[in-house]
Amino acid sequence: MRTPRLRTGTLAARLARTVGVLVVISLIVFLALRLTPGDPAALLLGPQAVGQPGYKIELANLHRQMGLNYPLPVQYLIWLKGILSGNLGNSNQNGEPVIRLLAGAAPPTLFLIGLSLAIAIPLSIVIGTTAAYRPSGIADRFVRALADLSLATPTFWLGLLLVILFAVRLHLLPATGYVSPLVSPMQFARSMALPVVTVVVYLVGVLTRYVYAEMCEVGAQDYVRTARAMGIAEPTVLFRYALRNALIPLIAIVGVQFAALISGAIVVEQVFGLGGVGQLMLQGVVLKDYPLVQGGVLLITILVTVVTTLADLLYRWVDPRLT
Amino acid sequence: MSEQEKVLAPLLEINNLAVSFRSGRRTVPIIHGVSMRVAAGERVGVIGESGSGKTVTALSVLGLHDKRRTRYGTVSAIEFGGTDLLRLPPKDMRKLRGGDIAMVFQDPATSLNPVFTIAAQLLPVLRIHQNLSRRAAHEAAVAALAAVEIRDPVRVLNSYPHELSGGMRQRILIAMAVACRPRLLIADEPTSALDVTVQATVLDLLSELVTESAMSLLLITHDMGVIARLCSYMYVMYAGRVVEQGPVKDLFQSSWHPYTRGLLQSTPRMNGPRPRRLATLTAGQSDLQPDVSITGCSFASRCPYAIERCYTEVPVLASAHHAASCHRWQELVASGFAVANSLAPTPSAAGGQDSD
Repeated sequence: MRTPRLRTGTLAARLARTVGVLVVISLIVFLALRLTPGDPAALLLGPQAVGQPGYKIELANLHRQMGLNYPLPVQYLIWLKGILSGNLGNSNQNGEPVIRLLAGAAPPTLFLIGLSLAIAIPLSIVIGTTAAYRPSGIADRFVRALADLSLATPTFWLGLLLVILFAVRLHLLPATGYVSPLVSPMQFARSMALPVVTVVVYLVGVLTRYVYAEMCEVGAQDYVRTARAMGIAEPTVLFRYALRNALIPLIAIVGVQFAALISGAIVVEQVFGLGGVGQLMLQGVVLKDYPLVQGGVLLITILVTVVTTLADLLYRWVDPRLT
Repeated sequence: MSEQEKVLAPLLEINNLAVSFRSGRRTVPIIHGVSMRVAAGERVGVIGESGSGKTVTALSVLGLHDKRRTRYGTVSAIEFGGTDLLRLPPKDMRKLRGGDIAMVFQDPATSLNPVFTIAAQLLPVLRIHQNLSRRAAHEAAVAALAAVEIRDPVRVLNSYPHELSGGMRQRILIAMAVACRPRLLIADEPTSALDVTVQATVLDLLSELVTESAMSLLLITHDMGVIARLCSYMYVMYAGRVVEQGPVKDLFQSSWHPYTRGLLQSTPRMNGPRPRRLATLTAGQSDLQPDVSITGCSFASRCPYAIERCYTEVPVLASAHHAASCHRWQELVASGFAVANSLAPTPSAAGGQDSD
């Protein structure tokens, strides 16, 4: 198979666009946090401190400490300067570097999303293709009912059900917590099993419908008939000749789903106490921890852009007409 | 010539083929008992307008209809070399496809898979039917492309369909079809989607290939010129039935069915006197409504010679070497197709205001 060539120009253009997106997003986050009501310093001191002697001075000191005494543009530039030197600032809550907090929270989130996609994509392809091969057959009806059911099931609810069944009743798997694969691969697998199943059920519901619809359309194309007319076996026709065409829109959908998952994972992380990026961000938002939220959004933006770029490149690899 | 052909054993014999498609709760009959024969080495043409059932008939031979939605008549049979294809297990059918029976489709732009190279589409066909190794298949593929007069076969093998012209793509599809030396080649309007200038070369190529490897050809077209060029025997289809069959020469000299006659008269000719206005068939569509087709000749509503009987009784096609399914063909031929009744269309209805 010939590998389609990629023009360096396309790559450079994409990269430039990525940087532009990052700048815009960083501005939005920066402003959104500061223009919404609530003072992080006041939150940190707590409501009971209001009106106590020396409260005003303490507040002013804290503002200076957090760099909130500067005008907004200056604050933004200070933050940007920090980013360029690899410093995302320190968390307001405990003074820990944001970078270290994020580095600790990223693995559970990435493993959750990565493993879920790695399982859900092939699964959806097989289910969707099989259903499309015999529309209005039993498999088809079953698959569509299942897809509807999985879409209608809230992930937190399914997560809780799984916890009740496998952790509380059967004592097979831990209910919450995350164990790094470096510490114990076995414990890691056990800690990820339920969260991954929860996300996979949702993803399969979404993706199967797309695979099904695409395969139905591709299956009616002339070139599929040509392959059949040449005596190519049906599994090869479906999973090789037809599937590759159906993958083209699927790649775009997976790219979008990845972005949705990063923020959507908050709920699942919370239910299973994984301590991922989502959970960390939630804390940060509640406590108006500017540096933490800014750093987290930056990380998510970078991840999403990387994945969209990858999807774009994959696109060109699957569809030679695009190069 | 005609007597000689009758003696040849048929390679393909379509007997009383009836096909209907299920659509929702309705079942729509498409083909109402079509019989055709193709002898070994014979070139047979099938002509008819869109929706007349030419392609449906051809796809039935290869079993390419969606099985869940297709019903064949209980007395229908498609015999190929002694086996009934309609009752062949899918596995055996698949071996025949691309092997003993191959098909070239109408639209080369959509008939090749856009995301695979030519090699990725051609090599598996060779490997399946001839049990070749990868390398041997590659060599055979190069040879197959060279045989359809593609100049740079190695480069073309590594190309994607969108990088090739329509004529090239059709040549490739022809190469794919004939690569495994089929005994029967079905070509479904192989030149309809091509430029006029390319059409002739592709037709010549088809003709050469068929002659070289002594294949039988079943050619589907709506172009009388293509039939005249390639075929010796022909079937004229209308609304799911064969309305006339006979040797091409005979039909061109003296067609018996008003529809065939209309088709021939509406074909522009390079030689002979130039008509003031090209004859046309009355507008209308072949009607697929089952109740209508049962009550009479399906061509009656467009036929300038239709009489009352034509609306009440379905004409039967005799199994003669040259035959037409028309109640009045004998008297019409005898009278030289003089328009002899009030049901004839007025000139304005027949002609329209075409500019020359």
